[in-house]
Order: sequence, then C-alpha cells, then structure tokens
Amino acid sequence: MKLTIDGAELSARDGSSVLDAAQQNDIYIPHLCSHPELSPYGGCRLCLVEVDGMPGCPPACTTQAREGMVVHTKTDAVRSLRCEVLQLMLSEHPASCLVCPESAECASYQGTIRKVGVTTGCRYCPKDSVCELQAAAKSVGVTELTLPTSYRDLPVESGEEFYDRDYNLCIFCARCVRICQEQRQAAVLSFRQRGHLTTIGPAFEMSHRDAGCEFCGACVSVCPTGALSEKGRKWAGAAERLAPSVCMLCSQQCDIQAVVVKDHVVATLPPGDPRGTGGELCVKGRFCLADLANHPDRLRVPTVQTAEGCEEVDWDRATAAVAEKLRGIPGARIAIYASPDLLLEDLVTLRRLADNVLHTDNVTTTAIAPESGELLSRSFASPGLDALASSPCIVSLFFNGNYAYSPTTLAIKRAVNKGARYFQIGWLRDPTSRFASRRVTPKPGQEAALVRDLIKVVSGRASDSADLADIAEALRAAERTTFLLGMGVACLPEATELLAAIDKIAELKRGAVVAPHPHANLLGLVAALRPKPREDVERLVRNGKIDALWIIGESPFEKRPPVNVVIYQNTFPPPEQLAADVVLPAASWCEVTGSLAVAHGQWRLKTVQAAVRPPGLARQDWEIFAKALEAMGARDVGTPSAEELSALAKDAQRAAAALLAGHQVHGSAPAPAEEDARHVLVREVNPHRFRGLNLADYIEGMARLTPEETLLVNPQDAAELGVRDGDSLTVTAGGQSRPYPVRLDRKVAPARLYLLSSSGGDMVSPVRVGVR
Amino acid sequence: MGAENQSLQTVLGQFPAEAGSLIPILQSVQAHLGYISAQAVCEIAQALRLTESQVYGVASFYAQFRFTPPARHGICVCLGTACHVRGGERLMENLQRELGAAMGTSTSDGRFDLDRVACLGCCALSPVVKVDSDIYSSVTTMKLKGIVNGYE
Ligand code: SF4
Ligand code: SF4
Ligand code: SF4
Ligand code: FES
Ligand code: FES
Repeated sequence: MKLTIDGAELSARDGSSVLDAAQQNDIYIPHLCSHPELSPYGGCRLCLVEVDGMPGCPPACTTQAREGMVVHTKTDAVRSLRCEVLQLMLSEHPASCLVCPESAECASYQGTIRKVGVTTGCRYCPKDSVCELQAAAKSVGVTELTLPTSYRDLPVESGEEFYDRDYNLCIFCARCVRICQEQRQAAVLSFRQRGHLTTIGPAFEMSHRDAGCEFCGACVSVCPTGALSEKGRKWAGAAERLAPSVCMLCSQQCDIQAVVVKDHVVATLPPGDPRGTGGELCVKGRFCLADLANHPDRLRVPTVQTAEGCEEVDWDRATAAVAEKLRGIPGARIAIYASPDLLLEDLVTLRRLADNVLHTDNVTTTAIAPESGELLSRSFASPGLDALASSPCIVSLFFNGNYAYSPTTLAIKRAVNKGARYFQIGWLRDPTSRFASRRVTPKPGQEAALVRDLIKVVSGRASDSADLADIAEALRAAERTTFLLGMGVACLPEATELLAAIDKIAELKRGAVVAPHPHANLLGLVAALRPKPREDVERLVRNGKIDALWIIGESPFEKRPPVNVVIYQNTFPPPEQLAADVVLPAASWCEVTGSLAVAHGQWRLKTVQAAVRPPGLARQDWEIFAKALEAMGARDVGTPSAEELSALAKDAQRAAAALLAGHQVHGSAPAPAEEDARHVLVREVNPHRFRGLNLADYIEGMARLTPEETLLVNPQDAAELGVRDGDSLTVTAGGQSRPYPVRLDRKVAPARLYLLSSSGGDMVSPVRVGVR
Repeated sequence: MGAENQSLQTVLGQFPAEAGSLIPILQSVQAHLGYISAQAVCEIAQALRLTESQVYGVASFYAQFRFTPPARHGICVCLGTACHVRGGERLMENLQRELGAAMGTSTSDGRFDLDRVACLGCCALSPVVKVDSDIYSSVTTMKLKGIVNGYE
C-alpha cells in the first residue's frame, strides 16, 4: 500500500493503521494508549493527525491507512491540539519532573538546598526516566503547565502483593485493562463508574487476589506511567542490560529476560519488548526470581563445623574438609540427594563424583515420590503444550493452575477461544475455570465414586453420573482429547486404574496426556543419575546403613538423621537441626551456565546462560563437584562435553522407564475418614519451590499467595465456623488432631479445606475431617 | 441469602447465557432485589462466563444501577431549572443535614435514600420533592420536616 505522510510517498503493510504506517517508516507520532500488543483504543488523543478529505483531526492509531491517503503529522493545527491534550492530561498528573527547572541536573546530581548528608531530589515517581508520558511531553515540547492543576488525592494502593498502584499518576490509557483482558484473559481490571469518578480496579472493594489476579505483571509492564510499579524494583531505575535466561521454577522452563542493573538481576520479564509483551509468565517467573537471587540470606561462603564452632573457609579448605570427612567411608555407606533443579552439566559431574570417587549408587532425589512415578513418566512422554493448544477437547484432572504453569493455563484459554470444549475436574477454581464448559468438584465422601465413574466414562462404559454426562458426550464426539493431569492425580487411591484408562483413550483417539510438574530438570536428573527409588535410600538411612549424606538442594530431613557426616550444598542455609558438617554455597538460577533437558517429548536441550556472577564465593554446582573431585585425587576434571550430554538422550527413555519399574506404583491408601464429618481436607504437595526451598519462606508476596501448612477456607464456611484470616482451626482425622492457621480464599469450594503441605513426599488422598 | 439466591437463579434462567444478556439481567436483578448485590455480581459473572470485574465495570457505568440495598423510602429533590431557581438546592442541603446522608446515599438506619432528579415535569408547583410516589409541591424548609416525619 502506498500513502503520503508529510509530503513523502511511502509504503506500508496492508491492514496498518496510520500510526503503524508512520512507525514502519520511522516517522514518530506521539502516542500513549496505543500499544503493539493491544487492540486500538483511541483514548488518549495524543496521536491526532490531519488526513486530506477527512474532517477534523482523527487519531492515527484508530484510523485505517488506505491506498493513496495523504496524512499530515506535523501541521500547526495538529501540534497545538496535541499540546492541549497533553496539558489537559498533565493538569491532573503530578508533573514537576517535566517542568522543574532543576530536572536536568537532578537526574545526574541530586542537589539539595539544605545541608544534609544525603542526596535528595524528588524521587517520587518510580518510572522517572523510563516514563512514556515524560517522553511524549518532551517530544511535543511541553515545558510549562498552562492549566490549573488538580490532584486526585487517591490513596496509594500498596497493601497487596508484588506491585503498587498509585492511580494519581494514571492517565486512563486503558493499557492495563486491555492487556489483562485481551492477553492474559484474566479480566481483573475494569473501569469503574464514569466521568471524573472513574477508577480502575476489580469489582467493589475486592482485593486483586480475590478478583482472580494471577500476578503475571503484564499490566505493570505496559503501564506507560508510574501508576503501576513493581515493588521489587521500584527505585532501581532503567535497565542497564537485558540478559536472556530461563525460569527454573517448574517444568515449563519459560524463556525470560533478566533485567540487570549494577551486576544485579533486579527483575525478570517475558522475552521481547521490555515495555510489554503479554503476560506469558506466572507470578514466580515474573516476580519471584529476582528476589530469590538477591535475598540477603543467600549463602556466600563455605563453612565447616569444627571443635570451635562454625568456621568460614575458602574453597580449598572446604573441599579438603569434604575429602577428609568422606575418607575411608565405603561407597555403599554414602548417600547423595540431588536436586532436580540442577543443570545437566552439574548432574553429569555429580555422576562422575559418585561413580569414580565415592563409588556409591545410593543417589536419589526427593522429587520422585513412590506415588508420583507413574504420573511423571507420562509427563516425560507427553507432547507438551502444542497438543493442548490445538486440542478440540480438553479434560483437566486435579490440576491446579493457580500461581503456576501459566503457559498451560494460557494454552487452555486460547484453545477455548478457538472453540475447544474444556472440562475441569478438581478442587479449586483457577485461572482456567471461567473457560470450562463444566466444572466438577467431587462431593464430600463421593471422591472415589466420582473417580470410578470417570474411569467408566473414559473407557467408554456407561455411567449414570449426571455430573459427568456432558464430559462423556464430549469424549465420544471429539476426534481428539487432551488430558491435563495435575500432580494431585497421584494421590488418588485409584490412580493406576485411572491412568491406564486415560492411556487407552489417548491412544485410541490420538489424544495426549500433559502433566506439568514443579521441577526444572527432573528428566535431566533421571537420565544423568538414574536415581534409586527415594524410599530405598531412606530405608538405608533409617536403618543406620549410611554414614555420610551429601544433600544438594532438596533435603528429606529437617533433623539430622543418625549419620556421621552431613554435607549440605545449596543457595540458602540448611535447617539448623540438620547440623550440617560442611555447608557449600551454590549459585542460583541466574548465575549458572549449561543446559536443561526439555521436560517432555523428544530429548532436546535448552541452554541457560548466566546473567550475573554468584555472590561471594558461591559457585555453580558442577564447579563445586569438580573441586571436590580434585581434592579427592581425581585428575582431568573438566566440564562435561557436548557428546556426553547428547549421549544421555539414549538413557533418558530407558531411565524414565526404569523409574517406573523401580517404583512399585500404587496410589496412596485412603486415609480413614471421620464419621459424619462435613469437611474434606485436600492436600497438595507445595509445588512452589526452588532447590527444595519454599518460595514463601523468602518472598513476602508468595507467603501471602501460597502459604504452606495453612488451611485455605471458603469465606462462607469461615463465616459459619466463626473464623477469620489468621485464626486457627483444629483438624481431626483418624483420631489425630492438629491446629492450622486459617486463610480465607474464594478459590476453595464450600466444605473443602485446602492445604499446601510442606513434606515433599507423602502425598495424601483427600479425606473427610472434623473441624473445630 | 437463600431467597436472594433463588430469585437470582430465576432471573438468570430467563436469559440466554451470553455476554449480550448482561444489561437486561442487571435490570431484572435490580427490579427483583432492588439493587445489585456482591453475590449477584458473582452469580451473573459465573453464569455469563465473565469476571466479576467485568460485570461490575459495566453495571457501575450506568447511573441506573445501585449496589446497596434500597432504603425503606426514597426521597427525591427536584433540581431542575424551575425548582433550582425556587430553592430546590436549599431543600437538598437541608435534607442532607437533617438526615445525615449525602446525596446519592442512604441513611444509616435504612430509612431514606436521598437523591436528586432533573425536573419532574410539574414546574408550576416548584420546588418539588417526591417521596416514594407521593409528590409534594411548593415545599419550604418548614414543610420539609413534616413531610419527612410522615414516613417511618
Ligand atoms: S497482574 Fe496480570 S492478572 Fe493481575 S491485573 Fe495485572 S494483567 Fe491482570
Ligand atoms: S494504570 Fe497505567 S496502564 Fe492503566 S490506565 Fe492508568 S496509566 Fe494506563
Ligand atoms: S510457568 Fe514455570 S517456568 Fe514459567 S514462569 Fe512460571 S514457574 Fe517459571
Ligand atoms: S495513541 Fe492514539 S489515541 Fe492514544
Ligand atoms: S424543575 Fe422541578 S419539576 Fe421541573
């Protein structure tokens, strides 16, 4: 398409708006509400232009470019209109950053007229120097305010998780509202009321959490002003560089970019334009990673327990101590617990250490519980998200998409928008619930019956469950069905039978099984280490058959078991009662280089590149293993070669299969139900961990979103039970009682109590409990 | 709660479950319950597969919807041109003070809703005050007290 802009004959892609056409030809038209990821809105009126043959000054962003159009972007009329528009906007927007005569000096040297020992300056806006309104004002040439100013004086909303909201700075461009609606499809934000009373937020006075906010941060990324700002990097200023990286907090291995300032990762964003690609990440990838790396409690120096107490040492002394303590212990009496969040290079080096120097095959991981092996082996074999996005029928079973697995929940939303039928069987509402044709929550006491009916339905037999009637119908009609399985499936006593039925229908109907799990590199671990079943190693430890433990990341022990030596290697200090003899500081996610095995489908590797250096003396795990190898007399210890890694491809399938054989799989036995109890306790092993560490322990926002060992209670139930947030409830089952703190959560169905449990392994099926 | 839920479900049953039904449903809910409750917003959202924010955003855009239960009586002071000229504004000020409620809100005892209207079409009788469906003409501040006392 050809058109004329400011006298120059230019070409533009078909379907472009006038604004797009100008941008394609490097002509700058000031704009604020328009955003490349969002539908045109035409709200800010800053992009006004003149078009021959069109009356008035239409906004460039909502005007379709046409063949032969003649556009003027720099006429006096347009300029003065823009100026007026901006003046109007600024009359309600605190704008001293734009008109202060000191602003130029202030940016580089924060001078002060008072004699104080600190630099001051007006640091009132977190977006200073990265604000799009500032940029627009500069380009339009506003240097003074011509209209009387008014301040809306709205209270700053800073009491919620992860981001603050100061709507006094808002220009009502609706980018946040649109991205939440169009991209994330969470629709948490709306314009409320109208005219000068308009505010932005959820219904009534509801908190964002209650309104279903996923804390994906998309709204924060696209906000052109300082109205929405990330708590974590509020005053960190502009990014110095953006380093591509990978989120290692679950099996989805989302691509991210680390925002680096002064050799620190201050934030993480989805790939692409930092000012706003749609929210593809979950709250963990968007808001937790930086805090996890920068936390003041990080381990920085190796320590060794001596007669005098705990001593900080350098690496030579640390590895010498390791060698010394392990000397003379036969391999069969050494056990190693490895983390599924290690990179392949780390794991292969660890294998060498175990095979060649320690001579032990007691290598295991807490990540594979006896119950979950069956599910995990399906997860490894699954075709991944593509199967989900293109599936005409999706059934999710006990999958919890809250604050996790966002590529999966987004794939479901998108599939439904394209016409897929989606059925959700589970305990909680999650971001996909609104998209379900039907949601089924098992009735108290009927869980097993429902699962049995489900097995019937899935295997095509008749079932008279009314709840499942339309699922049965859809399964018959759909040419393909994808089953999304949550780790909760492993807790069902009927898990084996259910999985077998699903396998069969998946095979028959060319369907697929998708099962995301909480570990970044579990498949890599299985391939590289061929771990022993966890329960076998634990038995050895319990029976006094083990003298030395080397724990990398996840520890099954809170207290020191009866062993002579405990070596602990992680990013944060060990539990005190573990009484580790040697503590080795490891690098965190953004400080490591190497590869992850893609969690599902064909064996593929994903490269990870360090963005910053680890703090203090902390080192990547393979380096630590290599140092230990050297200290124990091994020679020629280098990084594992590319061949070594690709050779693992063969092992991966075999190891995944062996994993199944090794774990004699069974669902857990149903816990004894409390007679005539009205509530059902549902427990999920807390998936929000990195290297075994509970994110909620280190990140305040997560402590509020995903508190561990806390009962989530439906508000209606809470009212009936007379409890409020922070109160305690005593839960009784099988003659045992235990008090838990309470948190009200609208995602929980009435008569259910939801608990994220801390213990890594013991999955427990839902059970009826008494409540006091 | 139970009765409210029942009439909500009845209303929801009368409309196709699609986003286009939102405004008619809101109108019908308001006609049945007198206002749009938080629970109504929640149920409507679920039925139409919208979020509560979306429902509330639309509802609060229109002045016709209210989100608090209606009081036992509604007082409307006319502030149309004629009534304004002849002291409607003063009547409103007076009422706000007497009742301790701002325009557009209800008294804390749930007795009165206080609202304004822009001409009731009987300008000859101005200033006009309407309580429920009773019209009072040529109202003075003196008369106002008596009128208010007539409603419990
Ligand atoms: S964080 Fe994400 S889900 Fe929450 S309001 Fe912003 S865009 Fe919506
Ligand atoms: S909060 Fe930010 S993105 Fe949302 S309307 Fe206001 S200025 Fe725009
Ligand atoms: S879905 Fe998983 S990989 Fe992606 S951002 Fe969240 S935790 Fe990280
Ligand atoms: S950018 Fe065109 S109206 Fe806002
Ligand atoms: S102005 Fe009050 S009735 Fe017309």
